[in-house]
Amino acid sequence: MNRSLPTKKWKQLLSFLAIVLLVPRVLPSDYYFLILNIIALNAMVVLGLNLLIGFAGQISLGHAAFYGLGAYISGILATSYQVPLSLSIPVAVIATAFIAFLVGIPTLKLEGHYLVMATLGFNIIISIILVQWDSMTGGPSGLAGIPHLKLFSVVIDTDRKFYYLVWILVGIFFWLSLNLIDSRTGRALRAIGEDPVSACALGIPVEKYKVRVFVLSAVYAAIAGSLYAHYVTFISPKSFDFFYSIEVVTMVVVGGIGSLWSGLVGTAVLTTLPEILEIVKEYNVLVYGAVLMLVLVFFPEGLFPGIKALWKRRKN
Amino acid sequence: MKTEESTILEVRELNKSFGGLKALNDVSFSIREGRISALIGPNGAGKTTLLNVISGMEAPDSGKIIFYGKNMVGLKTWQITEKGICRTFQAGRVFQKMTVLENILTGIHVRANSGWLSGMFHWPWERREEKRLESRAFELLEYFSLADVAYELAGNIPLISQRKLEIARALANRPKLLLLDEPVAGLNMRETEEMGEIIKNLLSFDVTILLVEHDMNLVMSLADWIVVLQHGQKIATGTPGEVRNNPQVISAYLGNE
Repeated sequence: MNRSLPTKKWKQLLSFLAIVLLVPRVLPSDYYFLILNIIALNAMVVLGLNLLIGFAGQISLGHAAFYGLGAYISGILATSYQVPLSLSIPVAVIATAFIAFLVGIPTLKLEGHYLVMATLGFNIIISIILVQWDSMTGGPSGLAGIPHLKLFSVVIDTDRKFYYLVWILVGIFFWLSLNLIDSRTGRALRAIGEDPVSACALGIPVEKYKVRVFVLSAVYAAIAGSLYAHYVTFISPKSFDFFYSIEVVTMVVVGGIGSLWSGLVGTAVLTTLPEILEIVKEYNVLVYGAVLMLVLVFFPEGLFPGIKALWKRRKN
Repeated sequence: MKTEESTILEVRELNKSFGGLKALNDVSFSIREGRISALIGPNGAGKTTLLNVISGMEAPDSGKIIFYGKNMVGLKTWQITEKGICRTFQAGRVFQKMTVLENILTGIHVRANSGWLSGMFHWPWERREEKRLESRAFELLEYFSLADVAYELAGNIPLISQRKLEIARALANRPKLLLLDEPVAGLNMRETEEMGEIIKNLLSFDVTILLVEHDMNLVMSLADWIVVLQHGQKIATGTPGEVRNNPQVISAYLGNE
């Protein structure tokens, strides 16, 4: 990251905004908005996860739980307790952050596989609670009748309206994250990701930073989760089991670890792929797996860096 | 009482064992401020363990480490660095995937303030601090003649430059005591000489140096106080001349060479 970055960052963000505004004009049907919206929600989770995995070097297989907590807490508050969304969403996000903090303190003392197992375990516990605590969560049949988002007097009740809202939010969080990476805190995180021992020797309180970036990534997931709940208006525990955790980690890895733009590419590709694979019907899981394998074999650095390298080679 | 001869670090009856092996056995010595002291000894003498204990990476079984009159035992590594003891590593550990400049900026971490929100929003005061840090970083880079590779990834610059960068990065957090763990390991003769010159001149940064080194010529020419370890025990201390003529040292260390 050199000093030309700030201007480059602005250019990138402006083109991002332009694409967000242009895409709706060329989309043939509203079905595509649904996919783009799911991409956006995934992208927000992946964004936080990328800070945690790609920069601070800590792997979590529990982020579906934070996504789910954001969705359920806000959903339950809004339906069962008639709490206005302007309150229920912040409460959901803060509560999830607090839970992430409590989970993070003991688990982030662990490293490598142990951290993966601990976060996975946490995810499973949350899944069980969502299924078993019938009276509160609606159990396996889910929670229905969640109100739509309302911005001033506009009810966000169509895919098209939600599209603008969610992608602008993704843009904002993207910008905040790019800034963070290029700051004192971001350098500390990258230092921890690359060599925690050296980072510590330079006076960086490694554990404190690990817990904080874990909480931050959970906040991203919780925001995405609550947006999701108020978008689809019906949630069930299935959407938040650990398979989703694996999915988002895969998006980070396939896109390319250590770059936020790569994460976005990974998210877009892996969210669209199953939709495209509808054409091969019952073989879709098989083909999905094969595509994943091919990507990781031929682009071990990730899809985005791999394609960039190919592009460069072709140019020369 | 900071006279020129004041003690900056005192190691008192330090013990550390790994299983049955006594890596440090009642080690005591002190080093004086504003000097270059060296820690030598044959392989397995406990030098690295001692360095790890002083920098807080390993806890001693017993004993004290007194830095400016305060016991450092029990503090975490980052707290010890904050108090003014910073170390480098044997194999050289710059952040390879960060630029040279970013490495230095990471070194300044403890002497800067911007937090998470400032980082995310790039508030004006955060930008001002970054500018200030950068100009300080460039002073260091220029001193170590690394300014023209400031925007290169640290992993792509030559080994000698990486070693210099690691020292510059440590100096960036303004330590009072700098622990150098084999700074010339892996360097050729010409580079070793250059590094020796650099180490000698480090005193101008108002820092005291404790050097752990295998290269006897380098130690003898740089240090004015030497502590010799063998099998986890201190067997001698003194000026290079005294140590060189100490029969115990000769049989334990120099004799083996």
